Amino acid sequence: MKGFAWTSAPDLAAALRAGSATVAATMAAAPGPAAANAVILKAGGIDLLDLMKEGLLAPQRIVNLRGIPELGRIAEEPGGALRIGAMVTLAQLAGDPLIRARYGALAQAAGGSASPQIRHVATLGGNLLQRPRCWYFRSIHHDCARKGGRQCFAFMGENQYHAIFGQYGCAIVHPSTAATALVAFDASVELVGARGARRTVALENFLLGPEVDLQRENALAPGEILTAVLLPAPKPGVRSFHLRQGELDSFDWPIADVAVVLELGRDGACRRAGVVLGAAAPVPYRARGAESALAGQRIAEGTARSAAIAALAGATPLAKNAYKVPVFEALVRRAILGAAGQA
Amino acid sequence: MVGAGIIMTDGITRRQFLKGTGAAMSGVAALEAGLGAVAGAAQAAAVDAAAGTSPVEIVLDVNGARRRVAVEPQATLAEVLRGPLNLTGTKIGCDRGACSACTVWIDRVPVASCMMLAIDVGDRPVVTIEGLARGEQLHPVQAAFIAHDAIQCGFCTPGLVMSCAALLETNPAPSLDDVKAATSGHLCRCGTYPHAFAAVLDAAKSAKG
Amino acid sequence: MRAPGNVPGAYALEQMIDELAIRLAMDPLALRDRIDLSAVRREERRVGAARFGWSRRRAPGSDAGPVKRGLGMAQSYWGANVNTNAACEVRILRDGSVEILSSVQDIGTGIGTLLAQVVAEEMGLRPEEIVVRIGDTDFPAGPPSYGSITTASITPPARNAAWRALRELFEAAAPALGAPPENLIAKGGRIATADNARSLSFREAAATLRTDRISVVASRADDYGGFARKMGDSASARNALGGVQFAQVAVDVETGIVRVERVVAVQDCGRPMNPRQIESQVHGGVLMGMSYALCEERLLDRRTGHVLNADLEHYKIGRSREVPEIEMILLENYQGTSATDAYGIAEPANVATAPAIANAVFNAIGVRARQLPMTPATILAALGRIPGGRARA
Ligand SMILES: Cc1cc2nc3c(=O)[nH]c(=O)nc-3n(C[C@H](O)[C@H](O)[C@H](O)COP(=O)(O)OP(=O)(O)OC[C@H]3O[C@@H](n4cnc5c(N)ncnc54)[C@H](O)[C@@H]3O)c2cc1C
Ligand code: SF4
Ligand code: FES
Ligand code: FES
Repeated sequence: MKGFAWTSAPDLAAALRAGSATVAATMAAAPGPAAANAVILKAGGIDLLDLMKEGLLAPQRIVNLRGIPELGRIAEEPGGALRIGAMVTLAQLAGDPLIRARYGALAQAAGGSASPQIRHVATLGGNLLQRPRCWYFRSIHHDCARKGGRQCFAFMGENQYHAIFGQYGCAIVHPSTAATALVAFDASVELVGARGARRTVALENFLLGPEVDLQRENALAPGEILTAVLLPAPKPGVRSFHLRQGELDSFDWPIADVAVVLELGRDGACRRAGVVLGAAAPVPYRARGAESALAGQRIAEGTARSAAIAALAGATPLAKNAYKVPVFEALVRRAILGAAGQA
Repeated sequence: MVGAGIIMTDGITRRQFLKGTGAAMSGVAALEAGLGAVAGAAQAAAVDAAAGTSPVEIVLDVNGARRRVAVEPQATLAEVLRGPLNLTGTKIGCDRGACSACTVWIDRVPVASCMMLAIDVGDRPVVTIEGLARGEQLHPVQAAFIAHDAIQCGFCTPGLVMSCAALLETNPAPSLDDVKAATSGHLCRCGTYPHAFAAVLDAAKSAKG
Repeated sequence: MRAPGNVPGAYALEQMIDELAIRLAMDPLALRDRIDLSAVRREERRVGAARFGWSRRRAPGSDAGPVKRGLGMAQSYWGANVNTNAACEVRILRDGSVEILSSVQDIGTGIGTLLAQVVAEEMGLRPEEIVVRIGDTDFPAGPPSYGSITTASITPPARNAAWRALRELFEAAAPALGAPPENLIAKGGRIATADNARSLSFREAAATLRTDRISVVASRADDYGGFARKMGDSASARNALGGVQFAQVAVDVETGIVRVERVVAVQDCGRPMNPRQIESQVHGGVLMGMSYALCEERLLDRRTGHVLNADLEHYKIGRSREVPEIEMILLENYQGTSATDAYGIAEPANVATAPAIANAVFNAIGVRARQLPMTPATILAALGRIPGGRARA
């Protein structure tokens, strides 16, 4: 790791004054003065240290967000919506009684990520903003398209853990497991700009696929700080489930993960379904086919099975990751049944 | 090795010599580990004044003692513990958060010290493997690890013990699955898991009984 | 990896034997009883099958749900190898302390404990009373730590050196005990006359030494009756080592996930010196074998020549949740060929695991994974469940 200057921001205003650059823009500008002079925000620091140790990022200054109390709170808003501060850790998310009761899939997704040691430090904001885990992207030896190079090494190379949908010039899967669940719950993110202006964006729109921008995974603007994630108040009859499958059960990135949110009526029929696939595409992949297959149906083995097949329709696997298709089919079916309490 | 022409006669052991080199490489300079109560805020202010790679003086609360040490901003907690603070029980396996060999407690919770900057610890108490025993009295998990031969090369052991001891703090009667979950971030290449699991379950039982 | 070379070879051979048995409509154990001449392996199969419950084995695909269980077994063969450039020094000091010195190094296998055990047993002391000094090349040459040769190479000289040092102590202490040295014994921390009529504590006996210390160096002698082969410092004992392992797996045919639920490992290593340490080595062998079978793979980018998973995140190794129930049965196979009669364990315990798992996978799902590791991609391809896909080859 290269040296840097260090600032602990005591409050949000101080952090905003620091004039931070995004990691994506900084990496795209490297090598060059813009990259060397960059001021970068640090939350838990897990992804930041990883990038810096690999020699992929060497900011001039790091601004620590850890000392800003207002970013670390989970609070219920009037009307029942939930506001989760960006600095809330994955461990807190997994253990929070309210989240477990109302947004079970989110607690499951956060609790299944990484290792206990990482979850105790990694924050929700940092988790959503972490850079992709593609091994070519993480290697200084491969100047790939996402880093401003000319080619995607994954298309012709080792792509067993890459995307099966939406690989427009880049085949990453979005690294955040929590995002899978958050998109299924229609969460949004709250951002504060350098001049203090607040905006709220649906997470689904905040995360960007390569067809929109090949070099960044989200719409974070320079100087902006992600302050909170907002979850809408749960509708009556909502049940949710998150399932992940790694090659290993202990500490492994998922090869596939699925979040299902079902809004069940009194009659047991599904009014509305959210079905989102993680580790499937450059952004959390909303399986609209599955969602409409479930709408108006009673949940049973058969409906779940056809929804699972619909979810995978249109998949475009690469040479080494077609195995993900049957894995996802099984997971979608099981997660639907899990959400309906029939697993 | 000594045979390579380095003869140390002035009381520096080979280990200290190697350690010194390691610390220099990782950008950590040792200051006298004296005491001195620097208030948290003053410390933060001093830290903020740091620019570039020049060392900053911080005070770490390690194993109940306040240790003053000069660190460069990029030094990880693991490097500072092993280098200037001479607490080499904490091991660095992967240096990327992927093996948990470097596990220590911060605020009594296990974290990967290789993925935490020393400068970011602040006044939160750190406990390392050296701080687990009460004097000569081993922590029940340590004693159980010895009794069950849950140690082979020992490289993963300090971290594993820290996770298992932390588990018993919050869950005094864990199931085997609880132990597996608490240790799921650890890598033990030697395969001590079965003996380690038995040791933790045993330690839990003996603590109760 | 442990047992380099042997594991891939056994993975192929042991599956072929399994396949042959199935073609012949024979129980794999019965086929091995016909073709395997080793009496040791035969006994290992017998005790292992009984403990494991081999008779529960069913036809492939017997489970109705997506998770299919299967049982399999495989064997290992490992040369009982010795390094003859293995020596140690045993010292008795006039203050009563006893030291053993050798450049042999302990990389986690516990050789330090064994050396203390051997010297202590010879001298009638407790192991914790022996000072073990190892890992320094200034000391007499120890064996290297590979090939599962350490225990077999260095414990016999430890016993011989201790025995001779003790004779010197007897010489010194004989006058004080009023008995000829050949009538003295060492027992329970005392040097005593054979009839136990008179005795001195070990420390008192050591105080009779004329010099501050006595010291004996011994090296690894040839096995009694000679070795089967010798080349330079390397030698192989006449009888090889091995083991038989049984595995139970659960295969999810929808996700391709294989989990190992139980392993019974029957192993032999001559005279077992420290069963708990042997168990640790067997755990390591089984877990490494399981990891090799299920997930370990070095991935090289063919176009740029870089290893893509040279880290502990993407080079996958089974961890806590992958650990099956492991039971070890030690077959004590005394041969009387050296002063300790001990041979190696770490690698022979590793060789049979992956093929035992592969044979169990076949028994679960009725198709063979001819590719390693048995990841979901491998298993789903073998099952023909990948749309438009072909087996990774
Ligand atoms: C071995 C290993 C395994 C892992 N497995 C998983 C897994 O299974 N699933 C999963 O989801 N993740 C996994 N992770 C990734 C890990 O969860 C992320 O690295 C972590 O969540 C990042 O959070 P952080 O708080 O440490 O972020 P940081 O590293 O501090 O920040 C990440 C990025 O976000 C920016 N940033 C952070 N907070 C803000 C903010 N509030 N406003 C603006 N910008 C901000 C930073 O500038 C930086 O660019 C794994 C990581 C490791 C090391
Ligand atoms: S998948 Fe994306 S990040 Fe990976 S090599 Fe291709 S362009 Fe780069
Ligand atoms: S050294 Fe810190 S997790 Fe591996
Ligand atoms: S004891 Fe060697 S890695 Fe765990």
